[in-house]
Amino acid sequence: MIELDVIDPDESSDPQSDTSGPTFWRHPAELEEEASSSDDEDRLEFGPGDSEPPSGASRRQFLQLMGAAMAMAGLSGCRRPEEKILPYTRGTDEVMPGVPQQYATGMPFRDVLRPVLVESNEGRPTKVEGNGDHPMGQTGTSGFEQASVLNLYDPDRSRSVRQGGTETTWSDFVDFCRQLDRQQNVAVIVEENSSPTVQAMRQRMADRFDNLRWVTYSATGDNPARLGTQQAFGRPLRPRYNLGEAEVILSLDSDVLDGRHRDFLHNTQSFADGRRLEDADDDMSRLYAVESQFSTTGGSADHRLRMQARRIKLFAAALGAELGVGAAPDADWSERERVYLREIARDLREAGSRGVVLAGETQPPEVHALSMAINQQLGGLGTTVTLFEPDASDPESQDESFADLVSDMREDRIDSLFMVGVNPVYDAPAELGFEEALANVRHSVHCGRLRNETARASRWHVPRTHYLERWGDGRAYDGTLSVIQPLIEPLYDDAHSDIEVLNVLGTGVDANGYDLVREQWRARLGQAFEEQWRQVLHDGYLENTQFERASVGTAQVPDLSAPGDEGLEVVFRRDPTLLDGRFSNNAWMQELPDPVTKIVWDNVATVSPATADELGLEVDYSEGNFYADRIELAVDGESVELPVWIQPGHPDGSIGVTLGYGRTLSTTRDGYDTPFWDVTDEKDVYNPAPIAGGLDADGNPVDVVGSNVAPLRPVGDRVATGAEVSKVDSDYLIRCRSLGTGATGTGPARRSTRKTGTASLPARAPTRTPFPTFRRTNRHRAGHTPATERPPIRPATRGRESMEGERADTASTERRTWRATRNTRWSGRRIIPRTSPR
Amino acid sequence: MVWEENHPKDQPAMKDNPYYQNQWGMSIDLNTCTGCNACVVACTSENNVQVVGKEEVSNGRHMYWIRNDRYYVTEGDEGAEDPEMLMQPVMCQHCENAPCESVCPVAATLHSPDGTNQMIYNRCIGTRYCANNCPYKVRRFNFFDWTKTLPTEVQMAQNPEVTVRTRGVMEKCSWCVQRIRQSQQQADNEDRDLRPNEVETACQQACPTDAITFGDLNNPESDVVEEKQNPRRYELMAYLNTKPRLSYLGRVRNTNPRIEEALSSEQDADAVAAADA
Repeated sequence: MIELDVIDPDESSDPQSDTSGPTFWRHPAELEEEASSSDDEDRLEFGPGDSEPPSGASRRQFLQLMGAAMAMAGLSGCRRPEEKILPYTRGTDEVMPGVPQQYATGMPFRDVLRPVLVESNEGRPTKVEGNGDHPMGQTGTSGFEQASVLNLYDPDRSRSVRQGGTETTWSDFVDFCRQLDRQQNVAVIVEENSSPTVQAMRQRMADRFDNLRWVTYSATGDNPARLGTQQAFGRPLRPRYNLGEAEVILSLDSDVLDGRHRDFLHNTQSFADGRRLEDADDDMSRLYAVESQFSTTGGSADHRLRMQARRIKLFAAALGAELGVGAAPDADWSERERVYLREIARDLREAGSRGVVLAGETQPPEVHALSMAINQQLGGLGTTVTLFEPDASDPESQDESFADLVSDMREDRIDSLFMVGVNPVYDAPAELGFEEALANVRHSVHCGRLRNETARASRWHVPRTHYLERWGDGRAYDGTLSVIQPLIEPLYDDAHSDIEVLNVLGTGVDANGYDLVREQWRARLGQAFEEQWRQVLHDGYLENTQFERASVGTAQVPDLSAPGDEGLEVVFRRDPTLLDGRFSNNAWMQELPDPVTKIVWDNVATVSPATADELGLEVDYSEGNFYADRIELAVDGESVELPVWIQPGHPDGSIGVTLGYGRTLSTTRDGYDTPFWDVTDEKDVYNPAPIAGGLDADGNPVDVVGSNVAPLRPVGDRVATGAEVSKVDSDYLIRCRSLGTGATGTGPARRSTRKTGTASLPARAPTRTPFPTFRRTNRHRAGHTPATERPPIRPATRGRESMEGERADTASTERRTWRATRNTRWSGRRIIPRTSPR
Repeated sequence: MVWEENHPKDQPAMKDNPYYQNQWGMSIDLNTCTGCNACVVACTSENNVQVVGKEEVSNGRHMYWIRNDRYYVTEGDEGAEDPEMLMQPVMCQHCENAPCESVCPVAATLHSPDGTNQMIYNRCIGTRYCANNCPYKVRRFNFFDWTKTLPTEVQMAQNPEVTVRTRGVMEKCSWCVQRIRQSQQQADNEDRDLRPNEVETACQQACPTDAITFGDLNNPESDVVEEKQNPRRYELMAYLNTKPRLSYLGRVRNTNPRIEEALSSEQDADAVAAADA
């Protein structure tokens, strides 16, 4: 019997009953519950109805039914599923059975490549980690890298080339490409990418076809940071924010600390560098967030101001005027907003070159240009902001080129259209009428991983390889070149990479991606190619290939006039878990809660409590679940039905929606039914349709998760105004994970507000040593070292450092006595070059 | 202390074990955690955590081993419309006085000599007493056989180092015990001691801000030892005396006093105006 020691009196007091401090709550219903609950009512232990006798099917009926079921089922249901194993008899030099290998490669993400290390178990990639050796200097990943491995094993991936909906072969497609006439009007829509080899393939196509249109397309439109720097400095530049250097940071609706941001890893790590505290009195940066949603950036902020997306540009202009950049706009500010405006401006001015202003993707290019001008005024260019000069960047707006292309398609000016890695039928704005225009094109080809909405609307469909099974290349955010090396052969024979498909189009030759990439790199690397190539594959990057730092003149200050738009605004964003739909059919991401609302398996229209009141909308809370009203959201004649979500901290008069839901995917998998006593078919998330939603035999949607909001988006913008909302029905079940998982909450996190000079922390020195040998270390980390200078956390890479030199000089007295078993595993997370072509 | 003398960890049987040399601990810095969810996906990928679908999530039967609790924070009764936010990743706290262990009738959840709270799936008979007794609500029960029906392709994404769980079995965060054992075996093969910070859990490795620190508390060179000296350190629900091996470093807000002053004086002015009216 263990006798527990006496608990500290100040620890034993239940913090929940302490009414003096701040209140921690997870949803409004909890606040109300707390206010109304009385002590004698033990409502946390048992839910309503738990003490009532059960109704419906009785135990006796259940046993009768199960008895019959068991008799019918026989004894086939064993506890363990039957499994077959395959011998791993054919070994290779590098692979030792049971020893996972790591390979350096890169994940294409929007228009950058994120450097990663991928673990492979006997040739089967299973886990993605960050590549800490990369010049970007980051360990860690976002959730997207982690989940990308499941996209490879998506059971609904497209498996064969299709023409007019029926299966055909890759060689048929090659023949089709060879027959294309040189005088044809050919257009290509590609996803955002950073690959030099794709650019070379573009050149090959331009050489073959007299009239080639090349359009880069993204589901939320062009990158406003690119267009904004163009406005400010006359050419598109790529800003990088060194938040670790900053003392005062202002985020203008920026998702800078969100995995969706292109430079997420650098942002979040450098932000953390400025927030890491050895001692409570250490210096620490201050983050202001002015935002039109409640984001993780706002959640990390020290001061947060909610504001409609369309008013943030006025806020930016007013702030610029306070700091001597541009003219103040004509706007009415509330007292709170005026205080923020004044004090943020003062704080930024005092911080000088240690202050930084960031604009977000929902903001138009003008705000990005203005924030660059403010940063220049503060002296931050060069300290908190680095401007990279990208090697090849089209100065024209992608949105405009895409709109031009669609109108040309409608007027029969395009003969052949190739769409690689994009899904415009699903996510192009409805006002463009892309699907009708597509029907006008004689030859339309879609190349994608899934047979999605665009694949079905195209004449041809070619399955595309996942990045873990194709050769390719690309540039990281800072420009560092990497080769994408595959870890596995394509799972399906017909699947080809974008480079291979574009090469067939450009030359008519069916070449291997490996040869195509090497051909480009041979020209780049020149001397000692094989050695350097090996090195690049081993390290995952080519050294000294960062973009040049740009030197710029004085930024042009754009004119930010008053919005004049009335009514409700709708702000469109990529989903924090599904992105623009690329991760829709990924079970991990569907069940990953939104970081703020914690909603899983659904998208919602987010409104503030006051706006919900005004519109007469409600969300009821009952026994751990939310039952929401559903609305019809209409913008310019287009409408979509969505459940509503009341979000504290959301700005009034604004509705937030996310893309990536409402998918209809075609699959070759068949659904299955189990007998009525076996609920397996109902519980299996992969049954009967794809995770994100599919089509039945008659073409009707089945099991569709959420609704597609992309058609409502205005062309060239992420904010729509004048939205109309009408209630459709009520009691739509919304489930939040991480809210009330059990009988009690786990109790609040601790937090303290720092006043100037004095720290009021929940400080508590450890009163007793937890272990006999626990003692204070004499090592002290002086301040925080920037990520690039920190020694790598990963154990030594083979061939670089000797294991002997790494031997830990610990005080432990004796070595372990146990012996390694026969099934010894090496956990050295080494990077091994993949030397043989596939 | 009386209990310290009698504690199982001091019994000869516990000490006579090679694993006893390492005592694992973790700390999470709430000041650098932004709640980006990378740790949650990394854990799913590493530990073969299964997906259950919307209906079963609404029954409270999701399987995630680590979750990101999001709290809204308000001062007093005001401000429920515009609260602050605070993120806190919560996983098994690996309590030294683990409430789950004492209620298991079949000793399926036990303390390991190296100080982690372990699940032995083969022994588990699914009473769920442990989940009921866990104050942190981090234990997950397999109400159905989620792995039986996985498509072949998805089975290929599973980590071979981690057992998949069948129906009727409780599971929870293991602090990536497979990675700990791998590192120990490797160190043993190389005839050396474990280096400080050699073992990284999946959540720690994925964390872009290095908010999660894991290591051997017995090794003074470990980062986690230093982190635990931080004055911001606290343990979740420490008043229950569960003695978690997982510590948090409290969040500090660097507020601008001028804004707070201006806003509070404005509120006072409003109150005066309201009183006058």
